[in-house]
Amino acid sequence: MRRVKLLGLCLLILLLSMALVVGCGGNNGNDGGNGGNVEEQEPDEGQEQATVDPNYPDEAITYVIPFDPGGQSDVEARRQQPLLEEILGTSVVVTYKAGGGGAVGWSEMVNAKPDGYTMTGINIPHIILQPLSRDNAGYTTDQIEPVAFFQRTPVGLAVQKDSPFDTLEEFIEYATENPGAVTVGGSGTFSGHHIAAIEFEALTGVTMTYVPFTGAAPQMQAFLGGHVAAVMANSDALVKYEDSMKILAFGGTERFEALPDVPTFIEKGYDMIPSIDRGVGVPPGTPDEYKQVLSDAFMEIANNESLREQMTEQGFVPVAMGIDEAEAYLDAMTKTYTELLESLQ
Amino acid sequence: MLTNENIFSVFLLAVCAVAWNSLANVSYLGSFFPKVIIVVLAFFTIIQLVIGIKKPKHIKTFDGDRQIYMFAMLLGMIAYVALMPILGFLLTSMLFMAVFFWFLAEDRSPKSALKTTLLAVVVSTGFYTLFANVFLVPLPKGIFF
Amino acid sequence: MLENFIVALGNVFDPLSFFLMIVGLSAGIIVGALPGLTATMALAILVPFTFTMPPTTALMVLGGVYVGAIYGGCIAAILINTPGTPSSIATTFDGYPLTKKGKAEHALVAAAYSSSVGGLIGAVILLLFSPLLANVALKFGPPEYFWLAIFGLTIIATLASKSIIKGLIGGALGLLLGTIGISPIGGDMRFTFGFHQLQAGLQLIVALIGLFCIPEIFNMVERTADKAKINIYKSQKGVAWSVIKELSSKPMLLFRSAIIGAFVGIVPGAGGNIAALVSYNEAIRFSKKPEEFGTGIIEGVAAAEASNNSEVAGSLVPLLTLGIPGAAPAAVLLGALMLQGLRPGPELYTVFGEITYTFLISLIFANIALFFLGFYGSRYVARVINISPSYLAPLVVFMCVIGSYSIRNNMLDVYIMVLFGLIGYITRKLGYPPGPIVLGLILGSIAENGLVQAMLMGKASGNTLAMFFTRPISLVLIVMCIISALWPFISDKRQKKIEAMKKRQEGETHVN
Repeated sequence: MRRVKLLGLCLLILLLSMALVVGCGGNNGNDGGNGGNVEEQEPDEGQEQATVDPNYPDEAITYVIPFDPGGQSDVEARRQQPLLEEILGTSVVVTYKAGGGGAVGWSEMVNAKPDGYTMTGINIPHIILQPLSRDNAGYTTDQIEPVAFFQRTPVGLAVQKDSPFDTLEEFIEYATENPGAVTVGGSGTFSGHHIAAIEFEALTGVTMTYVPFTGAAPQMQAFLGGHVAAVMANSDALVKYEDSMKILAFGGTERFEALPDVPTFIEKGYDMIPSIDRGVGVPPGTPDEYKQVLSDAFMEIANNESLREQMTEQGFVPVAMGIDEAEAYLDAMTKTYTELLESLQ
Repeated sequence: MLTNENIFSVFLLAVCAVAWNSLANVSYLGSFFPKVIIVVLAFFTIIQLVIGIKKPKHIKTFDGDRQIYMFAMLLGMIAYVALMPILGFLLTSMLFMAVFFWFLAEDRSPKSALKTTLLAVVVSTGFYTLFANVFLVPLPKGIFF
Repeated sequence: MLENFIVALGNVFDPLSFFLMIVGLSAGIIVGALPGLTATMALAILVPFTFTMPPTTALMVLGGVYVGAIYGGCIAAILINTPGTPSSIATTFDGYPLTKKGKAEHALVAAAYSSSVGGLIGAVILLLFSPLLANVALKFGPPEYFWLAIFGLTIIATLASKSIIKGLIGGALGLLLGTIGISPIGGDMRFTFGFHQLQAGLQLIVALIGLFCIPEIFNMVERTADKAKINIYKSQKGVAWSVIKELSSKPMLLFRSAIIGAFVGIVPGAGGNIAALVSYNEAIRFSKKPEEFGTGIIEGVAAAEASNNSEVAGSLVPLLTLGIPGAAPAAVLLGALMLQGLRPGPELYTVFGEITYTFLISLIFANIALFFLGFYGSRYVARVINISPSYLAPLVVFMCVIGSYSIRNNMLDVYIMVLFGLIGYITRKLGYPPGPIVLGLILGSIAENGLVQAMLMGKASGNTLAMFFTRPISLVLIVMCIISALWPFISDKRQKKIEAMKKRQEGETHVN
């Protein structure tokens, strides 16, 4: 009997202490806030429609970055974080779920609760190319619900400073006469750089050797060290290392502000606008009202003058696409890339 | 001949076979490196197996005088992590620590059960608060917490 | 440049900044000591707190965190055989045996002293030679990375001195485990068996905790206290001074380790874990009593810790001059720099010179402060080991679980940790040391990336063999690989020759 009583006492202590912790600590590690009430409003799991809370957001929002800390997506998120907190009136917690070039983070996103309190950074063309090229990326492109796109990083082709090519034509001529001899460095397989190289090969008829690196930093390191002849690189890298390279062409409909002497691919007669776009998405099934709130917040930030200046200075193109524009853009890009990959099969 | 060592070597060879098979659909450049490694691994494992058969070394793997405690700990750990998504981090941690603080100790009186439960509660909640609120790690929530 | 220097010196000694740096240092040590939390995470968590600070203060704080976190890993490594950060893997080799001999404080003080000295040497190198060294980093292309990884693998020969075959098996197993995930070329999924979280591969820390920590916990539990042969830590007087005296009598050890650490740090992609392992290996090679390493000598701890702290400074070299991080924590620092409006490159030393020099000088003082913290704190920290196993074991399991989860907020990592724990226990008992397995895991991706990228480069140039075997730095590395792989056999022969010579001399003196 004594043993049973004691066991009961222990369990009681356990229960009481947990109630205390949860009651005071609140959910998901925010700073107090409304305590444990908010959870009850939404259903426990699945993609059902949650009942809409007019006070949204009233607890901390998690901003998931599907890459390692220190990368470009992280830097952008950090830029936005203080403004987001101000506009949304709640704390925004940046967490990282790196892996598979973003796939791990995105597969978690499509399985997460659509309660409006988790948003994940998304990147085009990654979210399009990964499900197309992998057996099981953990998600499909149409599961992704974009809320905004706020940055474009055009991709350009550059060669070594001491290389014999001064123009795109010379480069193409050499590559045509020596198929496979030109090494082009890029970040990742079936990534923005890779698809840019593929598109280039398809439009010009040349064959190059694409050498994938594990990120933009190793890619540029290999290029600056002279280990690859050319790179399909991000605009910010091109701007940063402008003096150590010759930039032959750039993606865009018009010339890039920071690189006024560089022709665009389109100018040269090749219909390609390679770029990597960054935005934010939410789990499928998130109520439209919540999506709108988030989207408006990001739009406000995207139109913030000083932020736009910072981005442009570092070599990025600020963009402001709200929900509808973002969805249309994603659909259009999906179509383009799907057709491109199919034409190569 | 049937020593623990040799059983393990055979196990490793089985792993090599499974790994080799699962690379069937992988492209040439994607499977080159792993295949080389599998060959190297199999090569050395076979050498080890041959040595182990010629000069059997009888290594006891489960021979501690309190070996049962180790198994209890192992099962406890497995239960702990298996239940975590269901019951939540806080509850499972408290249970695990309360049980094992008490179970592993020399003296197992009801009084010590009380002590261990309290200790488990304090430690769990302390670290939980630290990680959830300072390090901002969303620890798993279960159906209760 | 000189005026920047003087202004920077003034900045460093600004009371608030200095105080915050010490706070950062301490926070870093605590985070580093917790298994599963790495320096990268510590920095990622603390960067937002520095937004409101002026750039000089922010960088000083972050520098302190980085230095502290890399040092902090040694605490868990020494006390519970768990590398608190991957940089402390090599510290477990001699650190934990020292604890088992009751000399935990010796190990901790040795770690503090060597971390401090190593970090100082690294910081000075960073301050004076940065731009020169950055160019060396660039010369490392894919073939060089491949050979560097192979060189790292030759360390297996040292780590598995009892049974080379088992060491090689462990290494191959580690390499194979490292291939889990998406292949670098072709983007194929390998060995993921339907788990999409495995696309990223196995997390190194999860494997570390599983292979190093859990088996020790099982060992703790399965024997009664006296049979477990763990000596209680008894506080003795004068331990710290005796350790310092002993290490100071071997200055080359610390100096060589620091140089190795700095150079490994300079090569992007090679971090503190590799630096410490290479340094440990070289310490054995140059030692007069190599067989003592692994049994618990402070030289082992010193070699590992001096290099991993010096690697911190090394990783900043390519970061500050080229904007290419030398290691993962440096990548977070890059983000912080960019958010403060600082752009890596030559401008950092001229336009932003004041801020940069403040940062560099503050690293020197962070390492000095580290010494004091370690020196005085060690005797208290060492007492942790006296906690009875019945409390210590579940507590450590708890921390391992929370640590593994925190890496990616992913339960799968926790399951894998437990699985590795069981595997580690079995393999340890069967005579397979965990070092080679971990070495394979770390070096696998570096080796594969280097191999496949170099193969592509070779294909493009028409001569793959030349790509691997005719580049100057590659040749140097290949020679190093050969020497390193054959060393155990050469050193055996040398020993025998020396003994034979001694015998002959004795014979002669007898005759005379």
